[in-house]
Amino acid sequence: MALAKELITRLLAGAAVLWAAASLAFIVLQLLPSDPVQVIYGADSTVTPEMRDRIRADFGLDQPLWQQYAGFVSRTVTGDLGTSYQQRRTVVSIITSELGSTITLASLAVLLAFSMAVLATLATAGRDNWLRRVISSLELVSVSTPAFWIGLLLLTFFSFQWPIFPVVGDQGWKSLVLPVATLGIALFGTLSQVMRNEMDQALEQPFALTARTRGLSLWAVRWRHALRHALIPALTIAAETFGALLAGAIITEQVFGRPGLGRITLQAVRNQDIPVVLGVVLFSAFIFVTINIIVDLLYRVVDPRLRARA
Amino acid sequence: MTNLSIELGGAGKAAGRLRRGRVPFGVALAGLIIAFMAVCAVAPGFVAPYDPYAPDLLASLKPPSPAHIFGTDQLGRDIFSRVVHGASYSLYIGLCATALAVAAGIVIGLSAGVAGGFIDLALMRVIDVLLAFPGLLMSMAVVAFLGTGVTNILIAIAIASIPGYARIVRAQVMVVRTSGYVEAARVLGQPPMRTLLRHILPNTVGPLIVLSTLGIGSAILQSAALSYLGLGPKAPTPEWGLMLAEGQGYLRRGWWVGIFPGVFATATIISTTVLGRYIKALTDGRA
Amino acid sequence: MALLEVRDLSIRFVGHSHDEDVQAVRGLSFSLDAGECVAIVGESGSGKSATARALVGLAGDNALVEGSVSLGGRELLKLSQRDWLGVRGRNIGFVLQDALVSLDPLRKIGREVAETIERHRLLPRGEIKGRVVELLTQVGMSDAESRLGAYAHQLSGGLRQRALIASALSGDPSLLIADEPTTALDMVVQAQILKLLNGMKQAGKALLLISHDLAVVAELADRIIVMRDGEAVESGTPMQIFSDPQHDYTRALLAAIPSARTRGLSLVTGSGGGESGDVSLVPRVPVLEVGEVVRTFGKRAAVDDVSLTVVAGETLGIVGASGSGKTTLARLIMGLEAPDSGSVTLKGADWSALHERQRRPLRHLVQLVSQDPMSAFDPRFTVERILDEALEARGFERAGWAERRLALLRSVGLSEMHLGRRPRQLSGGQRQRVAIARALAMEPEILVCDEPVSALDVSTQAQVLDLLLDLKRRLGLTIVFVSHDLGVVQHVSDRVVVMNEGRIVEEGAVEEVLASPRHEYTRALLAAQPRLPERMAG
Repeated sequence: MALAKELITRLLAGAAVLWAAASLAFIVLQLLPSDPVQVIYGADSTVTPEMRDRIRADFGLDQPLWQQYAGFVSRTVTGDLGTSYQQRRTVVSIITSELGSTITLASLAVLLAFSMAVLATLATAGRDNWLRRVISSLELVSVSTPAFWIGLLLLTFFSFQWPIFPVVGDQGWKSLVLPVATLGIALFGTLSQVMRNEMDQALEQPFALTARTRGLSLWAVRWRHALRHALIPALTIAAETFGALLAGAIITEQVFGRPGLGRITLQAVRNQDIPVVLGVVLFSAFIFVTINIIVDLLYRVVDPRLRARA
Repeated sequence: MTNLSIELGGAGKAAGRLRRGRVPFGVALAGLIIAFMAVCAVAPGFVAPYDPYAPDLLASLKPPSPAHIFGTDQLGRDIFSRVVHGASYSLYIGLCATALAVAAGIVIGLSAGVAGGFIDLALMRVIDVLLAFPGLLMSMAVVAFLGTGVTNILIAIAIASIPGYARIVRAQVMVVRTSGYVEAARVLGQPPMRTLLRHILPNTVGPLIVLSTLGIGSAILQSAALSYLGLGPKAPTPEWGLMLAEGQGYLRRGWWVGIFPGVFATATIISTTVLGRYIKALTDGRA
Repeated sequence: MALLEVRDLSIRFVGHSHDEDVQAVRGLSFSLDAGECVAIVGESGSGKSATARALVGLAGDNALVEGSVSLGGRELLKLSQRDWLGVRGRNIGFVLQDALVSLDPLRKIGREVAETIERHRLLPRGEIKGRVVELLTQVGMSDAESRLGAYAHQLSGGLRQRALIASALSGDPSLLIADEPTTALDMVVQAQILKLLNGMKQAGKALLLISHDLAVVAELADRIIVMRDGEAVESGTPMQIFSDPQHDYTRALLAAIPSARTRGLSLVTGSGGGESGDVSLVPRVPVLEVGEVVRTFGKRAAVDDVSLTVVAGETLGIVGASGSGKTTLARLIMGLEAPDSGSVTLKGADWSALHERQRRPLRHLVQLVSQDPMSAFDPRFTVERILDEALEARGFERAGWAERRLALLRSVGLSEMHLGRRPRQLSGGQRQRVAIARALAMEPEILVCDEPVSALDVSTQAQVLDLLLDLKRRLGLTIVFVSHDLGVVQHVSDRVVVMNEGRIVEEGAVEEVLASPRHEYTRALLAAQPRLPERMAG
């Protein structure tokens, strides 16, 4: 019962955030200095004023402001994110057609980054030795190196110097290796730092000492006790990780010339195709809110102390 | 951004390892790198041997040699001279964007935390909404409206980082407000305004300024990424991200085109992060 | 040969350089047999916990342990890391303090208790659950089966500690080491846990008890070793230690324990502290009245219909277990918390009903000394600025501050060399002195002390209590003294109020209440108070 109540509160809060995001997007649209028709046809002087008016009507730009707002919000709620100025397709169809490729890339990259982070954490938490210094330096490099440069380096060495993987395109698993590595390496540092920091703290807690007095080896304490503690902050930054993933995907797709959400976003930004930009922004806000709701529920599975608080 | 919220809690181990009176080797090295980058940014002509814009098509894509220690690019320009000139863009954007974002973050976070009630609720909900957008996407969206260019990506990066700083300030205000020493000031009968200026403000802003040194690296990272995506300055500006984007097509014929601008960018970002963490560890140890 | 033989044990923590090395324990020897209890008693930094950890090979990576520890004839200090794993849990059980953090908060109690059995493969899988229930029942946990799925935070402090003891017993070790097993517990629960440990001893376990509290170990230990700065200064039976202590330190430690008998005496010197200031001779002028005050948090009434009067010049002790509402009551008196109903009046005038703006000019009348002075100081401030803030608030002329600062520091036993220090650079006792000096700077009439000594070692506690009583006599302060420690309250108070679950259950002069308690809860509290065997005469 308490759980259902909690869930409803979360859903309502999430809906409020999305509504606010949509309103913000609408305000931004209104503040836009450029005339949409100008963006669509550029400086094409053959477009007559009548044609311009028709286009304005097509996009609903001739209605009063509050009607535009109501229409915008209600369309957004029903999942209609408008029509691209450039492509004459709905924003939703553009996003969904490109989504699969990005999801493949992103999920493989998360898997890679998470596995590396768990291994690094298990191997180095609570210790002060050469391995820890090496791994924490790698993390520092990972969080400080621009993702596109990691991609370029991988390309330079594994496509040009030693032609193991294809340079660009979307041709089977081989063309996925370098993009996944790029994105995975970029994510690894943050995840690993957060998890190890938490595991360090967990291992200094008295319960870790208690576990050792039961005859558990240091490894067993890490694996059976501390790892679970380290997963909590990994959950906390899950939504932020999603943001980093999307940002990383934009860059990775650009480096490796892959199709995907990132590529259409970049295109839209370059062409000032505002409906697509806002569509992607709202879509990412939707995912962010959804992830946060799931994370809040998962917390209770991982951390029993939170169940009592409801 | 992501890193900041982590740094806020972390660094316990690092602080423990710090020893009195001796600067660790890595920190000293980072300091030297930043000093070098600063010289490059302020007086690039002093360091760079060639004109970064002068093409020499006869000498295009030459590997590193004593005459061109980082080699030449597709137009025969000296890569070393170009990366040296590039430092000013990154440092300028990194410093200014962070300063802008921190200032706005302090104003918003402090107003929310001190005012409380409805103002707090409203401001924090807006911040929540803004935090729902990934940083890079948000700066890209801002660029979509403002157009490309150095100033515009500076503003875009600043806007995208404000919510993170505002939330940290507000959280810190909450901690300080309920602290024992603010209560002690109340027991002494100190008026609230004096307590705000004397205890809450310094104990909130101090840690944030330290934390913002870490944010500079993240802002430089973003500016390089935006430039790489073609949203920053236009060719032939010697900006690191842009140089890498332009050179990408020539990687097959010359690896050095894709190496050195990245080395400079990464070295700068790592160094600011190392220095930032060191400063934070020092102040954590003292405060 | 005894079960456990410790010979010439030395523990050295190796730092980065030679002068950072710390010699934690030097040349410690003792033996312990089955069915026997040895207690190691000392203040923080005495090396008692390092000793306990070294006995299970967990003193730390930077610890250099020398000497000999043999358990059942087997030399432990020469064991490989691998062999140690077989000894821990199986031959030696270990109980740490504060089970809330000593049990993994993310795992169920049943799994925590079963861990030793699983690790050492003592039972087939199917029989483990039954054994865990048996163990939990054995340590006095009723309804053990239904509690297997509980997490540490869902159990009371006492039940948690029992679960932790069950976990230490689960490998059926011959030696049980308990490091401050009752420190985090209320007095009544502490008595129960001590009884449980005594049962273990009767059942034939060898028990090594580590504690900072001489009184706690008195009833349980067959021999007591008093440690100071890594060395055993004295050892003997409780009778020898308490009735005829040989070493000055032991004597000082014993004298420092506050109780009904130490009233009016200095805990540091043992002598009379001058005029004891008999309150019955002072005209009874009420300065503070609490009338039918109720304060609820959520659904729970933290303070439930409490009325009391504080008379000028007296020390009123408020005693109760954690959660009894005593701290909330102190905050209500301070005007830091507003009552839901009822009122607090100060010198016959409204206090709780005032608007904060009206209360501010009167705040100097009531000052606070809290349990944790560290958090009560702005970490950026030096002692000088801390005192200046109070002098400024009281409205003293800036020209006289320097003189007043010095006078204040001297009155709490500090000197001008402390002016430039930050809270972090002071010891716990010094910090509490600064907190008292700050309160005195306001020239208060009432000093509210909320657990002012519970974070301090016995000898530091003695100094701070002496200081408070000395100030009271010199300045004619009225003190409201909140504590969970009956001994401390008995030592300092003229009158006492006993609180339980938000209500006052008993009230009166200390001698009367404690000699003939009327309420059941007071009787339980008194019965739980650890008693020293016959003390030295005088």
